[in-house]
Amino acid sequence: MMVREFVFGMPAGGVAQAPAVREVTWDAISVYEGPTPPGEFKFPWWLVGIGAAAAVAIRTQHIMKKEKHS
Amino acid sequence: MPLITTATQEITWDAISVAAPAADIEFGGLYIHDETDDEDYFSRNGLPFNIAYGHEVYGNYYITNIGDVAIVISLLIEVIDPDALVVISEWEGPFTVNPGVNMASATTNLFTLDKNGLWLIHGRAEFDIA
Repeated sequence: MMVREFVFGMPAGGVAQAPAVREVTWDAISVYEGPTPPGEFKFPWWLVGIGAAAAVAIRTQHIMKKEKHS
Repeated sequence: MPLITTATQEITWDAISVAAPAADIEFGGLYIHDETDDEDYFSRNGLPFNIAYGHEVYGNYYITNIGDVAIVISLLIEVIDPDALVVISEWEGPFTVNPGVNMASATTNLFTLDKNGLWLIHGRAEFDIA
C-alpha cells in the first residue's frame, strides 16, 4: 500500500494566520486488460507510387499498341 | 552627607498557562465504487485496487476531526491518470466539523478507466478553527 502524506502547516500554540493544510496521495487503481495504444497512422504513400507507375506503364503500352496498328 | 537607601523586593510567579485549542485532522480511508461491476473497494484491504480497463468508477475519501475544537474545512479531490494528467479536480465544502468522531468527505464524479496503468487519487484538506 503506497500512501504519501504531507503536513504543510499547523496552528502552533495560537491563532492560525492561514488555514492549515494537509495532503495525501493514494496509489489508487491499477488498470489491466486494456488495449495497447495504437501507433501513429502513416499514410501508405508507396501505394500511390505503385499506382502511378502502373498507370504510366498501362498508358505507354496503350500508345505503343496504337502506334503499331497505325 | 547621610547615605539614603531604599529597600526593594520583587517577585515573579509563573502564574497562568494558556493553551490555545488545537485543530487537527486525520485522513481516513479511500473508497472506490466500480459502477460497471457494482463492486466496492476499501483501502484498508490494500492498495492499489485492480480494476479492468473501461470500467466506470468514482472515488471518495473522508477526514476525521481529531483536534479539540470545531473546524471549518474544505476538501480537494483529484484523479490523476497514468500519464500524470489531472482528469478530475473538485473542491467540496466548506464544512463545519465538530471534534470527536465527526467526519467530512469528498467524492468524485464518475470517470472511465480508459488507460492502462496506475491511477492516483490526491486529497488536500484546508482547515481552520471554526
